Amino acid sequence: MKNKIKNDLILVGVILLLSVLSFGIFKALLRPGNSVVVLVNGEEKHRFSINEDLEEFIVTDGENSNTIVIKDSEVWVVHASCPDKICASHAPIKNEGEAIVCLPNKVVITVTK
Amino acid sequence: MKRFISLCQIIFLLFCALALSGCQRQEKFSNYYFEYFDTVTTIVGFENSKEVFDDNCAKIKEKLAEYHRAYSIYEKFGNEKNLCYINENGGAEQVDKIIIDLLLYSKEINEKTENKFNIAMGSVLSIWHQYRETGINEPAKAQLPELSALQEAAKHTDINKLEINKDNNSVRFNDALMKLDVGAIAKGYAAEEIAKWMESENITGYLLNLGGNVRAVGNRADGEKWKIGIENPDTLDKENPYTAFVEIEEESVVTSGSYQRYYLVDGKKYHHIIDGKTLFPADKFLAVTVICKDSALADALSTTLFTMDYEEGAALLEKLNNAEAMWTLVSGEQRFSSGFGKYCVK
Repeated sequence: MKNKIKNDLILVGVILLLSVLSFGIFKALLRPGNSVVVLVNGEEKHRFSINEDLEEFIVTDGENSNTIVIKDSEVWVVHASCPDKICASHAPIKNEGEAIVCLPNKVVITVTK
Repeated sequence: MKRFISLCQIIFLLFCALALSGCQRQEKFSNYYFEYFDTVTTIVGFENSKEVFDDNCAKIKEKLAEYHRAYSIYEKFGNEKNLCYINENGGAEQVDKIIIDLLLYSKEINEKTENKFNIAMGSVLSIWHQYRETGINEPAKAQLPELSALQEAAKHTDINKLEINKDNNSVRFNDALMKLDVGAIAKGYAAEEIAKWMESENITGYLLNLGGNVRAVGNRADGEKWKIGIENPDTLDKENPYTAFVEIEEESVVTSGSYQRYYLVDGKKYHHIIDGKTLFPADKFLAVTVICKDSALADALSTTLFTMDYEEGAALLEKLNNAEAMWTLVSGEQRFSSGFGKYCVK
C-alpha cells in the first residue's frame, strides 16, 4: 500500500516535471508555420502550404501587384508595383505569426499554424 | 481492475499536465485593417470562436475610427473639429475631449523631455512631408527642401504659443503660422486609450499593433507572454531578420526607424524623423525601440530618443525611470538602457 502511494507520487512528480519542461520548450522556440496566408485589404484571398515551392503573381485590384515566392519553407516578396518597395526588401519569413506588409497595396503575407 | 485504475489515474494526470502546460481551447485569431493612421493595424486575440473575435474587433474598429478622425492632420471629416480643422483655423472652440487630452498630455511630455518632444513642429514637418510624398510618388522629381524655408518655418514652433483651455475644451494658437503635428504620439495615445477601454470591457488576451506601435492587453490565453521580434533595421541582412526578441504582458513596444518612411535624393535616403536642431532627418541611429507601460509615452519617447545623442537619451530614461530602450546605431552596433535586458528572450 505504502509502495503504491510512493509510485503514485513519483508519477505525479514526473508528469509535473514533463508539463513544466514542455511549457519551457514551447516558450523558447519560434515555431515554423505550415501555411502562407495572403490578405488583400484585410480579407483572405490565398492560402498556400509553406512546404510546397511556388511562384505566384497576385493582382490586388487590377493595377497593383505583389509577386511572392515560396521556397524551402520560406516566403518572401520578389517584386512589387508599389512605389516604396519595402515589402520586396523584407527578409523571408517562415515562423508562425510573422508577416510582410505592403502598405500601398494593402497586402499582408503572413505565416500561420 | 487494479491496472485499469492506474490507467485512469495516468489519463487524469495527463489531463492535469496538459492544463498545467497551458493548453486551452481558445484559439488565436488575427485581423488586419488599412483604414487608420495611414498604416496597417493588426489585432491579435484569443477567443473561443472567430465570431466572438470579429465582434470584439468591430467594437475596437469603432474606437480606431474615432481616434483616426480626431487626430488626422491631413484630412477633414464633415463638420468635425479635428486637428486638420484646428490647424487650418488656428484653433477651435468646443473641441472633442479626446483632442484636448492628447494635446495636454503632449505638453506634459514636452516638459519632461525639455522640449525635445514637440508637437508644435508642424510647420517644419509639413514641408518635409510634401517633399517626401513627391519624392516617393515621382522619384524623378525628388528634391530636398531649402534650408532657408525650413529655418523660416522653425520660427513658428514654440509650443508655449499653444493655448489649451480644458474648462471649455477650446484650443488657440497664439502664432498664426504655427501648426500641430501629432504623428509621433497619436497612434500610441490611441492604442493606450483603446487598450484601457478593452480592459474595462474585459476584452483581454489581445495584442494591438498600430503600424509598429504594439500594446499588449493582458496575457495570451495559452499562458505564454506575447513575444515581439524587433525587426533588423538593416533590411539587407537577410540572415538576421530580428535584432532582439522581447516578451511583454501589459506593456507597449514601439520602434522608430529610418528604414521605412523615406525617400531618395541622388541615391541618399531622407527619412521622416526630423531633428529639431538641424531641421534635417536625424542621423545617429537606424532604429530606437522603447518599452514601457504607457503606449503614448513609448511612442513619443522612441521618436524623441531617435533625435537625441545616446548618452543624453540614456540620461533622460534614467530620470523618467519608467521606460527602457534599445538603440541600433548607424554602424549596426547596439546599446541598451539598464533595464532593457529583463524583457529580452533567447
